[in-house]
Amino acid sequence: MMKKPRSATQLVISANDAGDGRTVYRTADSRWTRDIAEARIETSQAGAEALLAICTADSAVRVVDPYLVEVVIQDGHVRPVRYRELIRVEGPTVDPLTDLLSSRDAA
Amino acid sequence: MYRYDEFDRAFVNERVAEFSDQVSRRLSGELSEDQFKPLRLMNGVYLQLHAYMLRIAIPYGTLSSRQLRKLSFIARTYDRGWGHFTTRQNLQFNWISLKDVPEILQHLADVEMHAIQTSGNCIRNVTADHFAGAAADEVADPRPYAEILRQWSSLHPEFTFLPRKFKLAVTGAPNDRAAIQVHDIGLELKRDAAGATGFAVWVGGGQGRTPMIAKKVRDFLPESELLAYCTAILRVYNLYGRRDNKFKARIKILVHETGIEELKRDIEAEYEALRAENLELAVPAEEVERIGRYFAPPAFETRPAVSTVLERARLLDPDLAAFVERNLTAHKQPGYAALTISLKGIGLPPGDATAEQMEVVADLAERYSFDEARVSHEQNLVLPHVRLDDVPAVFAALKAAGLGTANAGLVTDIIACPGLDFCALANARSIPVAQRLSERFGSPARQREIGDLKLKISGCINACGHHHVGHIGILGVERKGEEFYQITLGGSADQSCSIGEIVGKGFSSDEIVDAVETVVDTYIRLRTSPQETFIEAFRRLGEAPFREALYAEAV
Ligand code: SF4
Repeated sequence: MMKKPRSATQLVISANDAGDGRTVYRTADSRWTRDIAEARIETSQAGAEALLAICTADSAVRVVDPYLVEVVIQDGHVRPVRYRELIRVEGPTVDPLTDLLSSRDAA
Repeated sequence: MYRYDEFDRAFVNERVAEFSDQVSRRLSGELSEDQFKPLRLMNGVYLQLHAYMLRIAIPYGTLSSRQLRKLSFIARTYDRGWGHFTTRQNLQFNWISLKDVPEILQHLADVEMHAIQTSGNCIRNVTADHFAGAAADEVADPRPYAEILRQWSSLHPEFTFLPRKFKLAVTGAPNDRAAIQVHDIGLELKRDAAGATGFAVWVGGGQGRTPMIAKKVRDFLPESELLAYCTAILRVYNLYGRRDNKFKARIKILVHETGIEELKRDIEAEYEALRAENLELAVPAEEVERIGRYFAPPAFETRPAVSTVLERARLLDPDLAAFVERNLTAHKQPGYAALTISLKGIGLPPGDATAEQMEVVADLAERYSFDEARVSHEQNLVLPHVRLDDVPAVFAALKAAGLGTANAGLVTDIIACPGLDFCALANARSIPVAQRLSERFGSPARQREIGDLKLKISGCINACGHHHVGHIGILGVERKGEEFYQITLGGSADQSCSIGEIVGKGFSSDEIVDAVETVVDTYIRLRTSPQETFIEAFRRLGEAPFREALYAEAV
């Protein structure tokens, strides 16, 4: 379900790749990338919504459910405001069981 | 175990072919996501935060070694080497590519498995007591009935588009290990005075945002009437269940809004009408017998009730002694035990198993448990029929695979849903909280001091982590972008089912582990003796002393 951001001034568009489901972001040159650093940042709500409309059309084939994500730029890095979105950028905060077990074996 | 007949096999293979075609049409762009989504969901493919997730049905939690090996193969070949067992006795793979799904489904079909009806507004995987056919307290094995219900509900044309999803659970023992009172229909297998088999029927239980305990609508339904009666319940629900509001669409709301007496009259009237028009729904005794043969007890040996081999070994090995104390359950056959394999290693994500661990369990099941393993709704695995003499060898193999944790039913045997680390619906993380709690209480002495305690964590109000029925329940919420955790106390999923009460305002992620420890310490301080369990003490004391202890400083 898409949530409208509050009064954000920096927005990127995110979605999931239709093939492997991975988190992707819309770039300035109309590609979808896994790297949020390459995302096109919109600084107005109207601009973001216009871009979202274009992306939604694109979603018929390449991606699933594009939506707006509020971001801030921190130390030169693009960082989502909501925790949920941060986890989408960085992946699960839990190490996979396979790694946890092998690190125990090594210890 | 049940084996597919020609019809089952053809049906599952046809579905694989059909969905393979749909996947290639989606990947080529011929189908949009809007068109494809209902199709993928019908085949267990969800889209989560980072990837597609495939949910595989494990009917009533029963697996052969061959099936478990196949799941291991899928984990290794198509996922990242592990899988997650859920509170509905299913298995979820978290990192699946859409293009691989047809191949995976074909692999599953080869071992008589599928992912059908693991999503959508239909009748979901029928769950059952994980000690079915083994437990000493069992009246009869519930799995033949669970299988009859599975066959009846698979692609049932009338019940494929219900107002909302529908879950059935069956227990064959008076000690309910299948949480039947928090299911849409809960069935307790029993015998009447004449020794005939039937069911107590419960309707309208559920968790989620409006937790409700089911109401009993029949104390003894003869076994031959099972399908007809369930059909009547489903028909009444299909007709009157709300379709205007997703949050009010489960049968529990219908029961609540209509009142159980009126609804019972509706169900009975529908049942009479159905019987008058169509007697075919009666399950013939021969059919019950035929299905029952698939679940016939294995060829147990006649053995002494006490194993000197095991008794001697446990004297020499304290780890084995602890394992025997917690992870063995009394078996109906002397000289055997049902053995719980904890997927709750200290500090590890609850319910997860690696491909290698699945292989180990499959090998042990084949060698020591008549080729059978089970999945419990508490997210553990079970070897249902192990000779007591073999327990030391099984324990040694489990320990070597990181599966020897002796904590079944203790505070670290935590149920936790995937939460915000994976789930698209989550508000907060569950797994890291479970890991920290597990570490906090992980010492064997501390756990033993606390005794039986069920701790359950959900990452959102959908309550997949069963927090409402945890003795201590934890619900993750989001407040102003931060994770908060609400504590509920006094829930229980067994025959004395109760819904936990929210004890007060939530705790931050930093505070939650200390808060749970405060609850536990309060219990230890106030219990009449170590024999008084947490839930008994809570029922005697009420929530006041716990609330005071938790919020004393704030007052
Ligand atoms: S309880 Fe919520 S967060 Fe947890 S698995 Fe269910 S839907 Fe996801």
